[in-house]
Amino acid sequence: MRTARPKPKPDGTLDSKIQGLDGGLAAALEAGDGDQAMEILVELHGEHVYRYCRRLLGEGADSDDASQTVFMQAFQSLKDLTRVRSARAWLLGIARNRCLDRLRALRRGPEPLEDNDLHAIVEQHPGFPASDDDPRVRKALDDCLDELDPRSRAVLVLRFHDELTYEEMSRLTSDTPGALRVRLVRALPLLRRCLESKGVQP
Amino acid sequence: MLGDLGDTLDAHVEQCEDCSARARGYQRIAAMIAAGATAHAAPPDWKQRTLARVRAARARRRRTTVLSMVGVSAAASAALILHIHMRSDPESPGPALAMEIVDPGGWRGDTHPGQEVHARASLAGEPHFEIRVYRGSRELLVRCPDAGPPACLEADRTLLVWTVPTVGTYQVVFLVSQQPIVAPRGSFDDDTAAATAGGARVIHVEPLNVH
Repeated sequence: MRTARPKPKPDGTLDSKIQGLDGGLAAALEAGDGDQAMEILVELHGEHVYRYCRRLLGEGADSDDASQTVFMQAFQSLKDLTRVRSARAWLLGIARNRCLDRLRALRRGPEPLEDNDLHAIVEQHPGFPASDDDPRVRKALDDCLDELDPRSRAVLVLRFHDELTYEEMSRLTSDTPGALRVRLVRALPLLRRCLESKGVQP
Repeated sequence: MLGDLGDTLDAHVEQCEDCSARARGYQRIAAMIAAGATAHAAPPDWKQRTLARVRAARARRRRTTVLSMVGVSAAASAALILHIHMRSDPESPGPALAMEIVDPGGWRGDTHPGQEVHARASLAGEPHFEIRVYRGSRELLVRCPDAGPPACLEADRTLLVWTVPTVGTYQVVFLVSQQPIVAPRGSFDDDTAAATAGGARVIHVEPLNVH
């Protein structure tokens, strides 16, 4: 991997606009080395972007391609990166838009499953407390989110992961804030029951 | 952020032990989603493939910039070639694929639905070949010469004439071999791996990003 040579200002400091970025990234941008900047972005944030797309899009969609498209757009908009405080937040913003585009392209996804369809009541598992450190819990959460309809899954991710307000989500999804709230309220019990059926006690 | 969960629950939650337990459960679920807790992980070669796509896009953008300058003077042309590219090694007399994107409606500055992809193959003595176009990495759209006309022609050595259907990312791959090429199943990565394992030479064309 090549090493970018930053071009310091006369006082020896990097441009203040990009000081807040990860050190190597700021240097690459200062040097105008787009290749190096992209390598750093992919190395530092690629996994996170992939996981975000996978979570938002679910199992059926091509999160591999979607997450790569995020970096394609990032490359085309690399100059914008000098104006942001967090490269990861910037990338996730791109990812959110691209993934929502794909969800829209799917038109109406499958309707939400009824409780009884979502998870067959299985023999009682000894429940284990929900901890995001437990790989069983993470797997169960993945599976249960995948079982939700795409729009309900998107609302959960946008609300809890991205911390968007219902009004902000409404602008992105073209659903009303009230409809989004209802969707979230309906999705949570489905998710909880699904987790319980997999032995996770949230 | 989690506080508004309480708004979605009945007012008696605080007095209802069962409801309180459920509310706490919902808050834990929300917290797990917020933390990005997931067992999913990017495929092992994802980073390399991502960077390869970025580099290819950069190379294409450079070519398009040059050709767009040519395009300004040729704007009156009904069909404008946006770019011509793809030789695995320009100095080599080996197999190569020349690809053009032709816009019957005039250039609009970017690759877009409705444009035609024309590809011409130079086989350099290889008896078997295929041109494949995938949408994303999973959907095989065209397979020449098997598909036959109108997508696959042989007149004037233009082998592929394919209209870009929708916005998206498309991957074009050119395969040549001394022996019959392994039939595709529809997944870009699996198909190219199978073809390679079967003795074919795989020549990648940079992805088309259609906006």
